Amino acid sequence: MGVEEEMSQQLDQAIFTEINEIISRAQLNAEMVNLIKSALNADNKTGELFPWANLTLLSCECVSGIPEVALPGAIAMELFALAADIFDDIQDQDNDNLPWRKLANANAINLAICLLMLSYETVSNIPDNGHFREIITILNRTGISAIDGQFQEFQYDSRDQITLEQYFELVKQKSGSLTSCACKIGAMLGGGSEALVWELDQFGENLGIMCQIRNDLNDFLDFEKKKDFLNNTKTLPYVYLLSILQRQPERFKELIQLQGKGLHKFGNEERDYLKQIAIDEGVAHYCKVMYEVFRQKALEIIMAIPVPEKGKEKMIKLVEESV
Amino acid sequence: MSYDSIAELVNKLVKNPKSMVSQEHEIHSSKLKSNELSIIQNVFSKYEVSGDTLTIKVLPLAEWA
Repeated sequence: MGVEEEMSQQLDQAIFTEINEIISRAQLNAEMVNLIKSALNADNKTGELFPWANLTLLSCECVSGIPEVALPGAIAMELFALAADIFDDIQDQDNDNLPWRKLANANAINLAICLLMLSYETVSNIPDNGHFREIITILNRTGISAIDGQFQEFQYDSRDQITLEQYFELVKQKSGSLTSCACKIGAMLGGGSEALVWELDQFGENLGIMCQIRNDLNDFLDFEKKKDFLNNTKTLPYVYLLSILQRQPERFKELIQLQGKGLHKFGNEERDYLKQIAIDEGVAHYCKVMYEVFRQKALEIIMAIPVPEKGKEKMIKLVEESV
Repeated sequence: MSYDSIAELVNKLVKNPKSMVSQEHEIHSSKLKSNELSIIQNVFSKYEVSGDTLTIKVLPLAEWA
């Protein structure tokens, strides 16, 4: 095992231990404790544990901060993002395989609220009063922005069409705000200057938009996992098709008819036809181009940050991989 | 950034990949920035998107959305 890998495992262990202590101090009943433990890292396809805490710690490392100092902020971020994820799945009624989706909605909501409260409980462990207030403010503003975005997304579901500009504005609010929050908390607890915190905030925002584009494309035809298209959710592939097919009235009509079929009438034939439209019109090309646009923005920001190269290596690695 | 201009150009190029050269001449009158055009060129030349490919596989990115 390399030194980097060993350090990463040690940090994961520190996160795990700290979360256990927080849960233990809260004196929750055993069922809730088990639920929280099964929810943590449940939505993890890459094998990387505690992605939100680790992003926060990477940002801290980037400004030459001490990971242990940023640990309460990192754990608060992990719990906060998990709560947001659960609320999102309850509202969208998808990702049925995840543990919180196997609960009655009322108890899934209880779990999410509990995680949110534990997140704030963790922030209160930050010894520096100034940092404590700043982190609380960042989390609150992020939550407000993400909820406003979520509200807007549901409003858009009832519309026939939205513009690409509206889509990207929404994604910035919904997904960009959470990743920028993690980066900002890490940079702040790492002792970064106001300018550095701002740069990492912008880096995080672009990273979040990249992730949302990737998810939107990868999930577009995954009807077992997501029902976005049938719910009229305005994902990037769908918004692109609605926009580009304005000049092809016949195909536009076909797309709208497919969308209106509903879950029970949307069989293999309809899936194949939607896939064909997506291929013919360049859905994957457009998503890859936009992914690249935001990837390059993120890369430019992180490359230009005036910190030692060693500190930002891992952040660069996050966005240097190409499509 | 003009999202619509990028979408229009991508759609044109998917229908006719050989039209990239003529699109370059149109760049002055379009709302596209030069880096956006080079990204489009790069995606079309370097990353060949086959008919069945509809995913972005970028493993290092964790679930941050």
